[in-house]
Amino acid sequence: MAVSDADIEDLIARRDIYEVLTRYSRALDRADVELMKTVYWPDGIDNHGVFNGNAAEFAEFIVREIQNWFEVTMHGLMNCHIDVDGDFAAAETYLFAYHKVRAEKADEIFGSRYMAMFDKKGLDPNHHHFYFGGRYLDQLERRDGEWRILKRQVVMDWNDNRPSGEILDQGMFATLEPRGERGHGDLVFSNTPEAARKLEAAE
Amino acid sequence: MSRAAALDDLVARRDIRAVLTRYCRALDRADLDLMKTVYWPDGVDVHGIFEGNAHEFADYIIREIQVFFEMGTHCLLNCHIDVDGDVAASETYLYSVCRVRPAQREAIFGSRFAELSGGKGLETDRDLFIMAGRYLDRFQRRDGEWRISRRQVIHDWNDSNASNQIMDQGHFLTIDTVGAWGKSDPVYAMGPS
Repeated sequence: MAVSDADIEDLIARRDIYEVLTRYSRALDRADVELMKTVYWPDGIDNHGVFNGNAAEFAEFIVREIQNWFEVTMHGLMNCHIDVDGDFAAAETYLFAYHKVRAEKADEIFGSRYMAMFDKKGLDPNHHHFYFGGRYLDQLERRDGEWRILKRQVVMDWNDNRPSGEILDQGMFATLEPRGERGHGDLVFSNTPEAARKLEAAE
Repeated sequence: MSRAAALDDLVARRDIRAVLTRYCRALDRADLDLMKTVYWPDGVDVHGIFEGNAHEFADYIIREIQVFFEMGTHCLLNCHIDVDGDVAASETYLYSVCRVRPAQREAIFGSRFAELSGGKGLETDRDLFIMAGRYLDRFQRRDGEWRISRRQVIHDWNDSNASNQIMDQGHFLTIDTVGAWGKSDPVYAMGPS
């Protein structure tokens, strides 16, 4: 079957939109505020529950606060259903997020009922895990050939909270290095096509 | 592969992925009409709990999922697709998390879980059911449209836990938009802006 120009245009739009979505997760989990601002248009809106308003202000807020609340986060994207119509698109992206809550923030994050039942109950008695299952509902716009988010709505489908069973210093886990980190020290920032080219040249 | 064949393959993959994610939207929102657009009318779904005509499966599962679960999410991960002309095969990893209603505890988990863990979490009236596996699908393209002609669900592992969901304390008080069965879910208000 012949592929139309419209199909090719649509494929390129989906590629670019998906790349915006994964760039958001990278920016958030590595706490990179400048990278996060490239995900939204300057007049974009994020309705995130914990913050509802201008997206650039949300980026400042969340990249600061996520480091205060959590030692580690991972925002994993799953199903991604995109509809493209000209310069506009809508995307529903399933999210599975992990948060390792800082010991001193557990009361604030979980509230009294959870703490009464689970404080000091984990293998790692000082930490708790907060899991979030939900969806990003995004409206995107293409301006001058670039796709970014115009409006994001976060939907929660479920959450679950557990005393930490994390092991870092015993058994197989003692061998699992390196660990992810915030900032540009994380290895993702040196994992570039240029690094692949150097590797090939060295062989 | 020629450039034309490569482009045809890319478009096929795009359309097949859209069918796979449409299935999850249909199931998690309990949208029967949407789910029927995923399968050919003569399609088959071998789902363990139901084996037979795919449109009859859709009628069955959209009714029953709302009885079993207060909420369900069917998350897709790896998606490996092989396209050959008007047919294709795909393997898609599934991680599903569902909140089980208390009246269904025994039916879903059986007696051992019900005695040991059921209702013993922060929430006494919900339990958490995790099922991970794979959808093995065979697709057919008819008049330019890809749909599933046969689905086989494979079960790789499951885990069952008491639920520690929090809605009314701590940070969770800020969560103001929650998913729902049916057209009240915000995804339906979203269309391209």
